Amino acid sequence: MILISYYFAIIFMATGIYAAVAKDNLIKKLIGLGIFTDGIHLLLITIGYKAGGIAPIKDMFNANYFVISAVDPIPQALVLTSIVIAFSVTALGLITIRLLYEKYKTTDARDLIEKI
Amino acid sequence: MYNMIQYLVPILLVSAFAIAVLGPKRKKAPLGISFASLALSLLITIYSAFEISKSGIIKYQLSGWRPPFGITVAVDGIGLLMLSIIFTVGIISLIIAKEEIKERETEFFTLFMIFTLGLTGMTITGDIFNFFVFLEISSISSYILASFSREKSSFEAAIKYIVIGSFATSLVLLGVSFLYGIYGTLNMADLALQVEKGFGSYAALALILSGLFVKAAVVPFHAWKPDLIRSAPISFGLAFAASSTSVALYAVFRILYTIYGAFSTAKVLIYISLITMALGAVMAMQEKDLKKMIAYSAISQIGYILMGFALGFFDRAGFTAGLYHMINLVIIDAALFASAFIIISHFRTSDMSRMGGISNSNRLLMAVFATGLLSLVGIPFVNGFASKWMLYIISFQVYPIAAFVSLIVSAATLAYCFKAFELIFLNNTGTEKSGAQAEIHIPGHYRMLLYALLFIMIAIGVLPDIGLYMSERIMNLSLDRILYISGVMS
Repeated sequence: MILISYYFAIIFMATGIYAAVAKDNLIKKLIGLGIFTDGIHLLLITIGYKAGGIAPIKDMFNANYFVISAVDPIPQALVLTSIVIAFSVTALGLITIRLLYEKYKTTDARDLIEKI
Repeated sequence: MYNMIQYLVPILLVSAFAIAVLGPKRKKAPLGISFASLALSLLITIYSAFEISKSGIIKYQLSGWRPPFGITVAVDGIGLLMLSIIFTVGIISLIIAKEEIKERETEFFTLFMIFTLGLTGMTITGDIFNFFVFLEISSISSYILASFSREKSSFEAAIKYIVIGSFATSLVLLGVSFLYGIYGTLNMADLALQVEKGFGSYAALALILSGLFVKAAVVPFHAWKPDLIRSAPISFGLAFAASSTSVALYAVFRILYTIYGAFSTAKVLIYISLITMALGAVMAMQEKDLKKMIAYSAISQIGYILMGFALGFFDRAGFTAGLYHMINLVIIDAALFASAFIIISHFRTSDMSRMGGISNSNRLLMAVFATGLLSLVGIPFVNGFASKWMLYIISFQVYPIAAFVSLIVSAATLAYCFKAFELIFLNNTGTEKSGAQAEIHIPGHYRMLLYALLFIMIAIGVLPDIGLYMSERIMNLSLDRILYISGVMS
């Protein structure tokens, strides 16, 4: 069964790639990259979904019921790691764009190609 | 047997923190701490070589969780070779960085340690998501180091690299998530047992390989590398060009061979490698900038290594030839970058048309640079010859067009190498500026480095069986998939 969030993940990825390629402003390209990685994260979390599942926190359920009906916790851990990585890359990209802006007074990629 | 491979990552991490803390107070701390930690790591690697030559693989389970549930640290023959390349090139880069980095040393050495940490983690891990995390660690530290010199052109190179590089690692993540979705495991050995032909696994392979090819600067995806090498500090440029590329190619080998077995993707790889060789040589011929020319020549040689790996699926000796060429390329790059640093800091420009005429009084520099260039071409008695000859023979037996193209590219290599040598050393006219016929002062330890590189290049050239024997032993250990899988899963 194809969940609707798979479709949304693909839409995110496509939108992100489009923004990273077709937009001229560097900040919009960076936002596009962020949307692309969000699409990948959505795909990864949806892989672990189980219909009618419970959160993977073993509080009061017994072991059998817990193992059968919990959603998969591994993709959640992978996505948390990846969100932190994407955050630091975005921060770094923004700093570099800011420094480029200070030196060249523009954030437009086409103008930058001519100026450099 | 007490194995110490698991201490590599903590040692590098502790040294990075120590440099960050002690660096601002003491001037000599960053270089000393980095040197000590890299030397210690190299000793651990050499010590582990004895264990690996006995049992073929070193394994360590993080926190004791059994495979395939926990994260495995698994080093086999080729992993050991990559570790020694990373640490040796790191030490050589530190010797260059001692002369080159005169300000903000704390930043540089901390980031350099973290970069080495990322590469080490990529090499020793046996878990594919852990591999992605370490890939991101080394990428992020290289994004910062790319713009270290803070000139205008370095920011342009950095933003190009950030956008392309983060897109590439996101592709690797997508491939990893496909693999997890289909097979339910992240352990490389467990995946090697379970992967079968099918649309999903081919899609995951395509995504992961695309991401790794961007990191290795193979041709359709190479556009960021020459600008990066031009604007980054030369010591980081060497570490990046030699170690990062080698680890990316090791990852391609691990994923394509160990996890996927011998699938029939090798023909496409041969075409990609031929295009890489040819384009690298053609672009190098048009370059006036010394650092960019070395970058393009490195891209061209990576095409040779990839051709060796691709041919290995048809004839096993191809893997040995590719690995031998990788070892030679690392040594050649070290020699070229080390002499390029002296030349560029002497002339204060990296534009080759403004250099010239220092051949009379700089014999050592000329010898090292010339030997490096001759090895690139593949002249006998210098170290590139044996590996290139093996590649020619194997490619002629398997796929003759590849042999034809690689021979032509070697001729083109000779063209740009001779042009570079002539422009830098022999061109006597038009150099009334500073630097003509001057004897360049090279510090003592740097001199020893140049002598050592010259000696190694000529030694491997005259006695190629050393390198061949080493590559064969390493490859025979690494080509045994059953050894890897059983070593990890037992």
